[in-house]
Amino acid sequence: MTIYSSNSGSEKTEVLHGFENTTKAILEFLSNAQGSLYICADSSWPSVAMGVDVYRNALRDLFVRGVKLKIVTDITKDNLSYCMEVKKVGELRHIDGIKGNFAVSEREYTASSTLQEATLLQQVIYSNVKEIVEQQQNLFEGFWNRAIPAETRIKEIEEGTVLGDTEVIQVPLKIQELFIHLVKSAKEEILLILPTINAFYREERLGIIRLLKEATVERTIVVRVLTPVDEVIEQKVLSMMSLAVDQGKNLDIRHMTSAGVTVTTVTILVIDKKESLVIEKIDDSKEDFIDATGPATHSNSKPTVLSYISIFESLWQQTELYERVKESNEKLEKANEHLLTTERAKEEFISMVSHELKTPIVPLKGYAQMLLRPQFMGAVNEKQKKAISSMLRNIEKLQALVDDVMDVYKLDLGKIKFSKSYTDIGTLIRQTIAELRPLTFAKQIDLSEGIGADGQVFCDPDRIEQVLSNLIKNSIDFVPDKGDGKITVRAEKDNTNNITLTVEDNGIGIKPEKADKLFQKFYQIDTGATRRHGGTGLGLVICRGIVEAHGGKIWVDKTYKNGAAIKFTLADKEKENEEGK
Amino acid sequence: MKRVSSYMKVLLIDDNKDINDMVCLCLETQDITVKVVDEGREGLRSIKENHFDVILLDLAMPGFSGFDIFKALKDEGLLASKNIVIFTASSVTDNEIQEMLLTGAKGVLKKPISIDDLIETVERFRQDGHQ
Repeated sequence: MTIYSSNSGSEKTEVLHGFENTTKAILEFLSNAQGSLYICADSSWPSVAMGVDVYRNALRDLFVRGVKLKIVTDITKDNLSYCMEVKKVGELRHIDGIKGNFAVSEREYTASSTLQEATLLQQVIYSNVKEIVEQQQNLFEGFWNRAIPAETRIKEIEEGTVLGDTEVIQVPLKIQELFIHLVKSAKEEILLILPTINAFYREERLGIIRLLKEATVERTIVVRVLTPVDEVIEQKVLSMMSLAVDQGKNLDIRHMTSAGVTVTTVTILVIDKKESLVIEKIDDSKEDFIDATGPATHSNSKPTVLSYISIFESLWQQTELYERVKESNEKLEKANEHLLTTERAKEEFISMVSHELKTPIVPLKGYAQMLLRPQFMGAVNEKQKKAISSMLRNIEKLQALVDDVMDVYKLDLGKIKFSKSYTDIGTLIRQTIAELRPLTFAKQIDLSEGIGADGQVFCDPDRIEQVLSNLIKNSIDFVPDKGDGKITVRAEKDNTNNITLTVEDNGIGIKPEKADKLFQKFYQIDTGATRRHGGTGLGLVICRGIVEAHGGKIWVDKTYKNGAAIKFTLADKEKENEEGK
Repeated sequence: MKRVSSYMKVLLIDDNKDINDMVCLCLETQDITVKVVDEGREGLRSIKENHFDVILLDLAMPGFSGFDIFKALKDEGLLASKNIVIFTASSVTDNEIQEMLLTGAKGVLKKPISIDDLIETVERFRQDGHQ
């Protein structure tokens, strides 16, 4: 009797009822098969196929006709003898706990819902619709590739390595009881993967988390848990772990989602490497375990359990890797923070030192200056005047030293802000010379300019004047006195339009091997020079800092033989860069 | 030689007694009256309650600092009517000082000052009308 049928030309899909109809349909299907036939069936099928004469004969006939037969089923201890028979007619493979029964040939497809051991089929679906047939062929292909060879499975069963079974449990209450029972009955090891934060809370309400703690603390069981965390869970996890570690117990809980690993959608529990329980969830938003839980699969079959162990271990390793990456990131962050703090502390310290060094100079300088002028505190005698003048000179030297040290540190830290503007270089040189004239006049030094290039340079005029002034003061210290000293400041434009400034003198000169060290901190050509000429040893360091901050460079002209010549450039492109910003 | 000059009154706000004594001696010799306040809040009160030709304001003071005084004056719109001269030894606050000059400070004296700079800066504010 045909209950359902759809016709489109010769193609049809129908549902057949009653063992006579179904048997007839199956036998026709088998005898129609040419080339290849694929069968996917549950653990009852081997007994039907080999225990019912008509089917057994039909299958043997296929083998004789040379039809290539592939069968995937659940090989168990109970159907093992039938499976040995099946192997004689075709290639057999095994999948744990496979459900549903269908067969597909090159043109036709049949399926039956349930099978009862060694009885005829009561209901069958038949189709020869091309799309359906192809779809089922692909489906079979998938099962086939995942299945393990029958020989492997049979060997396991014969050697008694697999005595296990896999059962599907539908009733949430039963799942809940089993879950608790398994955790309680563990003797060596518990592995648990929780798929969501809500799952953690549900399991906690169920008492599972408490049971895990007891298992590790009281029964010395190794417990490893993979779970996503929020802040609350993280705190709980940390306190649980520190408690266990304090007692030398083996509890390890790792974060999962933050690791960016592929998270499972199911809860997986593995006990003592012997039993697994995989629980599906149907509604993660539910607070209660019973409401949230879908079907579960309980297994003590070795390959099944081993496959869940391998899933657990691979996820575990991923989190381990993640933890290591996270740890090194945290270290880097801390180091970075430390650096920033150090940098800030340095700045604050320098600022404080500068202020504290300058403050006591204020009254020293003020009073010394006033003592030298009779209108403030009356006249002093010549001896007193000489002494106070010396004090004042040294006070000013101290002030210069403080200023120089601050400049060096500020240049090092990049804390000097340059106020750059278009500056006429000729005017700048003449102005610098004018300001130093009193010094050179006193020592009868010929200070002159040789400006071969005029024009605008984009720079901080005060700072460039500081460079020129430092260089000229150095020369003043080193040229001969009594009218023989000569210092010249030059400006030239090179072929790239950069301006080169030169301060040259007829002093003692700079030995070539010392030329490069000149711009290092606290270096002077000969150490005695500091005392004689009174420099701080920082002037050239500051010059280099300022010039480099302008995108130029500074160096000793080793080709100049009449004394010392120091050159520096002010890059024209600096202007373009600044404008481009 | 003493100058013949108008009466002039300066407020000095600084917490360093030695500096204050030195500045007083220097300015009083120039016939300038100096009122000294060594604490920030009292300094702000003095600025608001009295007229001074010049106010020398130290920045780094414990508690209520010169910065705080300046900000309070700015917030109350009093900067324009007061001749504030920043009087500081701080060298890393160049940018802040520039900012203060733009917002209404009338001058800056960087410690350690020379007495010539001190006198010259203060004398700039002497008003001939108050003989």
